[in-house]
Amino acid sequence: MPEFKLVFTGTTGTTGAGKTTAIAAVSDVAPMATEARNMDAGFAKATTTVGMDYGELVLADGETLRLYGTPGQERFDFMWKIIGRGALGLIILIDNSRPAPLEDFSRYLAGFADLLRTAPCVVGIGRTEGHPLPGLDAFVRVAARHGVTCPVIAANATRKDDVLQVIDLLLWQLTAHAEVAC
Amino acid sequence: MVLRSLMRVIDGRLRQRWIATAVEGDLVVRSEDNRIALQPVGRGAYADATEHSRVLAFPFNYHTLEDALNELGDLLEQASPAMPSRIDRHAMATNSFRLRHWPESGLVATRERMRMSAVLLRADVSASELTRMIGCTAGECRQLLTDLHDAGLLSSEPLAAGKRDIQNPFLSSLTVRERVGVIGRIRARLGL
Repeated sequence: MPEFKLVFTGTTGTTGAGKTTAIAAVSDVAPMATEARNMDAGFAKATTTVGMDYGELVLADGETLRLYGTPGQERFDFMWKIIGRGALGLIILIDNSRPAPLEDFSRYLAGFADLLRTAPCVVGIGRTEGHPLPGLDAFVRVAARHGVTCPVIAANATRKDDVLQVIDLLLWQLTAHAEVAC
Repeated sequence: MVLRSLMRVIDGRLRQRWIATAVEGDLVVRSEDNRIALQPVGRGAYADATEHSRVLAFPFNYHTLEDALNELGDLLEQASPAMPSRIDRHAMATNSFRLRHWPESGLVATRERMRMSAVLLRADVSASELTRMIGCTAGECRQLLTDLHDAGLLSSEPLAAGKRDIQNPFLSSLTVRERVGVIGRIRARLGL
């Protein structure tokens, strides 16, 4: 039975604000996560994902959509290419309350450059209410410097509607490929 | 840092001439007509941004300043009398359109506008194709295309010349019917 894959990556400043939460919001199964005590001073949370998160959706005809969340820290970037291989698309979740969110974003764009050459991407910026700067347009310009054009929207990963909206925009980009580019 | 910032802005992308003045530890950047100003304030302090001002908080790096200047340049360009002409009716019917980059949030304030913009990012589509795909009215579609065009974000070319390539290796291995089916089943499963 065919299997498809979506990848979530990005920074999470505090527990319950990022990839693990986003995957849990839409997964059919209780998401599996490999959390460990956080040793990174730049991440204000007690535990952090050190392997990857995993969830899945079983589609109507038995196909499976697998949802993978990558570890965010740079020391695990060797896993990004492996997890990204063959993905339908990439969702980047950025915590705007971190010290340098544009630099964080740039790092993920560089790390997933191979995937982004062929697959669509959507960027969700979290914690914009308390941290409006940098604005969404600044992220669009950083993406352009990497040769990436993608939707950039404010998204709170703890809200299922926001997660669905991010996925929705990814699916519409895939629809554009499927229906028009043929 | 300021010099480096300004040099990056000047490097091919400057549409306005900016004047930077150092005053008492703050940096005020004004357009030539003095209408729009950039005024960094101290760490943790946020001045109220008004309709004609943008405020940066220290510390900021050259990327921040470059982005802010370009943002102001975009605002001035939109306000200038030399705005691009609106899409004529013939072009609306015979051309395909492509979005150069994601619009500012004000232009994509509704779900339909976001969806249309997402499609326009990834494929050259005509107004009628876009209307059919999203299920919006022709008027809503035309209005978005006009707004994106007026903001200088839309490229357009005759329909036959539109690129119709498909790059995603997993989608390209499926037939059109299979591709649409998979996406539809994911959408249905998520209630989208």
